[in-house]
Amino acid sequence: MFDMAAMLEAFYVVFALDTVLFIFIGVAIGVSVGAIPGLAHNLPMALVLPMAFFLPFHQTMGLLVGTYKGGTYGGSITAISFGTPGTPGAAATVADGYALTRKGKGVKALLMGLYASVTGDMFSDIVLIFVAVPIGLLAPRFGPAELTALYFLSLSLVVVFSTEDPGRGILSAGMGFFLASIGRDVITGSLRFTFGMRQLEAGVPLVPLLMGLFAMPEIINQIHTLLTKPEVAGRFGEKAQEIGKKVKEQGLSLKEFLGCWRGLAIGSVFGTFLGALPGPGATLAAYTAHSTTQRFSKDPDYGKGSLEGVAAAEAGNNATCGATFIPLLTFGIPGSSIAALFMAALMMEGIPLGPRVIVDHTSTIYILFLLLLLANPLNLLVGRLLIPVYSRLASMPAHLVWPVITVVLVLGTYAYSTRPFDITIAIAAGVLGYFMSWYKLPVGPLILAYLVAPLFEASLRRGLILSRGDWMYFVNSPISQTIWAVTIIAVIFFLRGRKKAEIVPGK
Amino acid sequence: MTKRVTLNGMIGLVITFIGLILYIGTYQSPLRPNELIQPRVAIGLMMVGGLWIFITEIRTPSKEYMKLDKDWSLLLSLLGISLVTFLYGQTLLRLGVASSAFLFLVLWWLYIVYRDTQAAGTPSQFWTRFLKHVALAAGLAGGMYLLFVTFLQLYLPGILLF
Repeated sequence: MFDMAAMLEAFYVVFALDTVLFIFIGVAIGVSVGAIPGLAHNLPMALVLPMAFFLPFHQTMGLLVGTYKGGTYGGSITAISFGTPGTPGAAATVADGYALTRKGKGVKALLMGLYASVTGDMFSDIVLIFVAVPIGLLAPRFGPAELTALYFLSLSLVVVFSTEDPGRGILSAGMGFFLASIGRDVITGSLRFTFGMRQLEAGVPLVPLLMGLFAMPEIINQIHTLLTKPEVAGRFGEKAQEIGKKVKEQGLSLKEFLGCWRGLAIGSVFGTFLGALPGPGATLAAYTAHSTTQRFSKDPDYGKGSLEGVAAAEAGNNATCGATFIPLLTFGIPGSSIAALFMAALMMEGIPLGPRVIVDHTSTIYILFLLLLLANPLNLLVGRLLIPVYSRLASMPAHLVWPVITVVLVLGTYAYSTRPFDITIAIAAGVLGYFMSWYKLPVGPLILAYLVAPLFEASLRRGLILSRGDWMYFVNSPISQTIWAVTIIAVIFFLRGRKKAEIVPGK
Repeated sequence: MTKRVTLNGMIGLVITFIGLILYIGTYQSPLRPNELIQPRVAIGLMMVGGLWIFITEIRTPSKEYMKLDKDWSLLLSLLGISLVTFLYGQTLLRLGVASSAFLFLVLWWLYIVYRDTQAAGTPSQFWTRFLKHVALAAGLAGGMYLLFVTFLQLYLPGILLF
């Protein structure tokens, strides 16, 4: 029930100058750290957490919320400018964002990334505020059967929509599934495909894998050009600088922004829905939104330099921000490592999370809602301030940029979990990424399969244990039946679309 | 019109064969059948994908053929840059953030500046340009030390320098 007095109290606390300043500092830290490849925003958030012991609640939470939102957006900056995602969630932005930068439309892409992030984020916050309880009630109804169907749908969407050649999509997804098999079995703990290497027992870590798949092939290509055709590499820098001079005239128009409504809407809805479920996270949300929008987009450049692609991926990525709080505030379930950090901060303030938190701590929860809302315009402001800086960095000469990116890549990969072996994994993933770019295999299905596989396997095998091996268990509930039906309809819809495209020559 | 197998298609077929060998190999594995569900799905997907590419290439060979790198420069770059990155990683763990970044950048730019000035026929400009790059490398190495070591407190075991 709405409590006007608590809302007014929260309003006065949040709109005070000190709170705004702390959110601003948090956003600036988040955007800057998020833009460094390998350094996820978990790290600065973990460093900020102990401040909860001596700072007031609204200041600590302002700093944390700002860092979280800024960091989630910040990952897109390097994804668009250098083809190197700053955070795993920005990996889906690379295909369209970096292609736009190479076409001289980097500023447009950066602006679209910023606006889409803020739109998705705002949508998700509003959903959190108004439907936290109904969505929270739906989440526990997702048992192993429903989750298996959901993860299968997610995987099918990416494989069928991500590429013009389904064979390549399936091959890429198979590789992702295989990489996810390495390490300990999710149920029994047995070692699989570790080849006797102790370092592989925990599996292939996500950040080094992403750094290798996305950044290394680009570094190799650029340095290869620099060494074999220095005259071309030199002109690249000059050409980019010319583009840099023109970008002031190339802002993103309202028409262009609104023209991407499909991507924004699909991204916001998918991000909010997947963000509310424990497990999937921003990367999965961004990829699912990006590949689903492909089916509905009318842009022929989708996947190869489309603003709508950037909008879908970024809205999907950031829409998980508010939604992460849905299971946390309604059931006390942290669905991600970030949510666990927020949970720790709230518990340090003496707020036990669970179904009664909204009733027992109404004012505190309203403060959190308002902080989430206020962080969005501040994210927009910091983003607008930093875009010119990053667009200038992107137009620097190639011989300066790529060696520095190599240094940051190695440092960021090591800093992620201070495991020296992660650098080797990033290099090995780089060789795989290079083969994939040469053989024109899409990276999206690999990443999505890699992320979904452990969740899919865990829910499938738990379901098999619960049902004592009865496969019909997976189609018994109305929710799972609906999801399976959507999967079948989506695949048929796609195959029919392909058949028609084959009949119409040249399409 | 004669059908021919493109390099694209051949790679697809090779992947299918590798997948087949791996799939058969799973039956020799000491793992339980339930633990092998996911690996078998993975290998199965790779086999289907490879075969799909092969059949598609037979039916309609792609216009844009995969080309092998005749002078091996791409392959050498791939191996060379992977090796250099690995060596930089090892230097980072032994010398520290600032020293390794400075060394890595200076060596890269020494080579590039030397080659550029030789190609442009302006060897007299070498020292001026190189010293500018050294100053930039020192600034960047210092910045990285501040960010990773001072601010983020990055743990580096047993480093010799800083």
